Amino acid sequence: MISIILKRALDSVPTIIIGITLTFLIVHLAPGDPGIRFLDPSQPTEIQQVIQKRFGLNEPLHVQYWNWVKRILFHFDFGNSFYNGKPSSEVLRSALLPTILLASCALIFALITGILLGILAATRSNTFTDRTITMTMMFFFSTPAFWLGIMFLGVFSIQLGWLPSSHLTSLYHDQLNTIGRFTDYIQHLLLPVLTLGLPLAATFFRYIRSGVIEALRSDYILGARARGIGYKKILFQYCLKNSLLPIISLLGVIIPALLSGAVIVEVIFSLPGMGRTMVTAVFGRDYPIILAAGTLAFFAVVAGNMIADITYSIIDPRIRYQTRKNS
Amino acid sequence: MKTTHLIIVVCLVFALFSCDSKIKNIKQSSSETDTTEIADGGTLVIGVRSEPESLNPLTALSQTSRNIISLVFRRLADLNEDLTTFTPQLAKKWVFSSDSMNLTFHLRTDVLWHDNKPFTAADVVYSYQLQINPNVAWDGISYKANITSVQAPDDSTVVFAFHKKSLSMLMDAVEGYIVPKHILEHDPPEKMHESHFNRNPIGTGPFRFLGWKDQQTVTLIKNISYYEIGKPHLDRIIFKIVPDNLNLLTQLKSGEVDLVEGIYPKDFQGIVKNWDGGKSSVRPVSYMGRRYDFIGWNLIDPDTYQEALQNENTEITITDYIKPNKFFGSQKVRSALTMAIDRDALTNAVNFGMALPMNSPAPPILAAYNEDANIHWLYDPRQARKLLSEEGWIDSDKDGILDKDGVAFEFEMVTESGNVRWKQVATIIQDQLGKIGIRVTPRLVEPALLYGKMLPPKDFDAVVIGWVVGLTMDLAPLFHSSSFLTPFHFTGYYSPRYDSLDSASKNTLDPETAQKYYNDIARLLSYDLPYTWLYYRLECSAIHKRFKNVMSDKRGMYINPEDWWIPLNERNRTDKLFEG
Amino acid sequence: MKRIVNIICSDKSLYAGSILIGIIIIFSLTGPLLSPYNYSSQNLSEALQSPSISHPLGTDYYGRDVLARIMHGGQITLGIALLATTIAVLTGIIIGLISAFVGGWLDRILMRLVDIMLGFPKLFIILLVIGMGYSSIGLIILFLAIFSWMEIARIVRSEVLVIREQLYIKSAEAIGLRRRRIIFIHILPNVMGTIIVSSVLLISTLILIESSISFLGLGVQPPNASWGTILTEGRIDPIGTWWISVFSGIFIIAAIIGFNLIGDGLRNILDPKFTENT
Repeated sequence: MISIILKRALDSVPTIIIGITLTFLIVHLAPGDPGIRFLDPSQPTEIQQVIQKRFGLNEPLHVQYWNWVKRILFHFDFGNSFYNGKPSSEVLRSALLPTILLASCALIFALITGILLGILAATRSNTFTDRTITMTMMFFFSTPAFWLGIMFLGVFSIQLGWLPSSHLTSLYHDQLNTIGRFTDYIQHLLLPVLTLGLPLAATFFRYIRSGVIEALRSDYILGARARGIGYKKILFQYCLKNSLLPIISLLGVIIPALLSGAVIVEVIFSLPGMGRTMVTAVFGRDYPIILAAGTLAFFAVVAGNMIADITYSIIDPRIRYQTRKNS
Repeated sequence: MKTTHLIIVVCLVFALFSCDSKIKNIKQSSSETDTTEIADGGTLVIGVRSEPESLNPLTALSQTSRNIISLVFRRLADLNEDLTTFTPQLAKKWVFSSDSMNLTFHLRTDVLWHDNKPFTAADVVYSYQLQINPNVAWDGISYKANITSVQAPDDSTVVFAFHKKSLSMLMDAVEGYIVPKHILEHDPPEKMHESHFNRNPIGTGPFRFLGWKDQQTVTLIKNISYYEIGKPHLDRIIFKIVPDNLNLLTQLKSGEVDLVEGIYPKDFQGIVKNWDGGKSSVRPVSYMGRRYDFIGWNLIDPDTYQEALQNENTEITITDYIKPNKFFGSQKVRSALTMAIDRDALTNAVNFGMALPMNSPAPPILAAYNEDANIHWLYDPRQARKLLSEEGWIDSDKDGILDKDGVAFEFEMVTESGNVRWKQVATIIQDQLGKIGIRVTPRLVEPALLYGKMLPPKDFDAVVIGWVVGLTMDLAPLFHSSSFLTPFHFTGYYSPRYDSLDSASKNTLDPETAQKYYNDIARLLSYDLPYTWLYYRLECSAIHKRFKNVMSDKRGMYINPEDWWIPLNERNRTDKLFEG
Repeated sequence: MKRIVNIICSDKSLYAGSILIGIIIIFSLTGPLLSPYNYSSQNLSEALQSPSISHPLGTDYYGRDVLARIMHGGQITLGIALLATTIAVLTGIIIGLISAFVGGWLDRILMRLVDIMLGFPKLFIILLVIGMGYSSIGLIILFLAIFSWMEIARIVRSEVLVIREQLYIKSAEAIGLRRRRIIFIHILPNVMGTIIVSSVLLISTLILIESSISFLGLGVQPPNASWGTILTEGRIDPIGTWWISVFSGIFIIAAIIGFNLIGDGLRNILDPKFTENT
């Protein structure tokens, strides 16, 4: 087991190195000057050089790269934001929590909805219920997150005024009692979680539904039923377990998808998370933040893949570290 | 290839600096006169689009940061509505020496920093030293160019000495907020942009900094030991960061946010319609702002300019950089293009009435403005075509596009991506110039690229952007030959006549003579058309009607927040929760 | 031709999807020829009109006919998605084949590359590349393709490896048929089904990504417009100018649903394991 983890970890090293180097190159080779926003038409030209020096942008590219790597390796320092001078690690730390909260709520919501509806549809295969659920899920599977978000926002926040349109908490959050705080969180998270979670739930639904149908028809389940094992037990213990397998292997793909989705959702609902931090950093040419966030994203993706592999090999011992077949 | 050190008084700055003071002649801006007792307490929630980058007056750049700073810090004196006289702030009074070369400020002695340390003359001197330190890179450094020294003979007196007499000596001296020496002296100036102070400011203003939640809120609370007894009235001001315009507007209407600036004109029209004299809770506020938008033409040939830049020869003169641009090098072509654009229709389409026509660089808020001095190019596409054909631009190959010597009249019009208004302007111009046979391709370019790598090397055809105007008429960074090589002089405009008018206007100490030169400058530039000025914007803001005593004028929305107050019977849930 | 029609009719989702996409394509291609309005001609005095008889889907901020713009936007959106998919699929096939046939260290490097590219948070990288440079249709197509070929390559490689082990290929090799011949006559046709399914699904993914990029403000440059950019224009005021974003949004969703249905249908036909499920 440990050797698998180690091997997988070692394998991911080049992915991470190449990934962040590439990000570094894209960022630094992009035309344009991040220092320009600190300049004013009336300032003497010396200031321009001061700014360049401040950000270390006057050095040759390989020197900048080496300095950057050195700082990360020896001091775990990703540099300070060009925009507000704050250490990148601090910026990311405060941005990470909302994104993790959002993503995990969306993932849990999607799993529960996807599995329940999937089983429901599979057991009533080809009935009206099945068709309605499948059609609805097809719609959510095909709807862009931003469209869903705008519609939710327009209907529930703007027209009806039921739910807040931005942020994770109310301004007076700290003034509320425990129950009040909890409801406050739920009110703020509901729309973002739905926006991010529904398309994902639709993805899960498709796998679960076809997996369960397939399993229900397979010989061993028929055999189990013949031996008088209860329908519920069969459904949840055998069929579900089998159909969960492809979902676990999907984890490696789901994490980048969640990250991308979080970008859109956080922009629409003005949430103070990673996605919004990245967008602001890209548009504001905040190199250290872009690089730190990019590095973090690569780690997240690699970690997701590892977790998927490991869980997979625990659940299904036939597979011991092979390249997963992705289709 | 270094330009001489520019002596610039005030000019078009990237962002406006806001002023805040108590004006003696307080105008009642809300329609009803408040005879009731002013009630203290309450919370003001201000919705802002971007997170402030720093709350240190020396490193802050964005408008949001400047607004917050204007509540936390004070200057020696503050600008009045006429934009020429000043009201005492940290200084009680000031006197010029008999030869007018020294200016002495007598400071208040009852002022405390927010950490309860006393404010003294040493803070003023130290602030000046930081302001002129190039490693700090303060964006207002040009104000201090005419100052030779600042000294403090005692704890409550500061003396500014100047190089030469000018009309703006007082403004030069008082510009810039005073920062606490006892805190900043521990920070090396070259590390100012990473200082702890940037996120934990300590000032002398009516509100003190309480806390900052990343990407969410910045909270200020009432400074109970503010030197003006009895002020401020509000308990708390929260700046809520809501980047999305739609969310911001929704929250303004629902009352989650009390004050929003920079509202899109179309949305503002909706607010005005709903308000209708007090029918809704959101009161629209509009005032003449500081922004105008224009088309900048590239008057010179980019390649020739590049070659001249590569030339190491130090004997090179300005004319070596200039080869007229094949399209925009001619004044006739520029005036034809200006006449071919229906600027009134364009202004209305993008501003929904919230803008004034503009014909020359003199902004209407300044005393130097005189509409009669401008040359007006009225919309006349037929005349435009005639002028173009006189210049040789005719559609000889009948493809619908004008051409001359085999070169088709087609060019790129760049603008900043992410700016909805400019994108609309470029799209409309494309259509209008298309009608007289000129093919324009709008191109949205990311700001760092536009201001960093396209405009400074003059590597573009035409650009649609806007400026924020400063408080005195100074166009040297944009049009004077001494700034020919600097990033913001991107049109490549060169006119010896402009140069001499500009210096003449600065060297006179008589405001009336100066005005004559300003008129000449306006006439010259509105004839030469290095820019085609499009419109001067009216600022659109809105504030919840429960706030009383709110003033706004061309200095902005933050003139007197320490005087704002909320009647007890109009407090909302946020007010009450924070009090309870 | 008749065979194709037969195939299409044999599966419900394929049938529905094909009709949907067919309508959208015909609408986008022939619409501009029939419409009295040009997608880019402005009429500032008619700006922001809600749907009426003369402008069935209303007008935008410049008084342009939204219907004409959506028809033009269809060409751009579908054009981008189809071209990017074509490039990605071709790249994927070539790399997959090379990987499978050459094998050895080249195979390992290529598959490592696939792993790395799959690990990229796509939207972030595309945002970075386009946000920092110029945005043009060509660049959007290029970058969409660069980040989409990997799955096809993987599929092709593994399918080829499986097929190659099969008896008839082995015997073909044994009787000395040339490799190129084996690839084109025996292997590719067998892999084609899987490739077609994933490319159809890729089209819908790319429409989604392209519209997300437009949503973030990095889409096609004016006066051209994709559905995503039209939608984003209406987002400034989604209630007051609902017709701009609602109609363009419907087209995006319809196109994505259409391609997904086609993909599902094709898979049902090609992969019998799935057939009975629908």
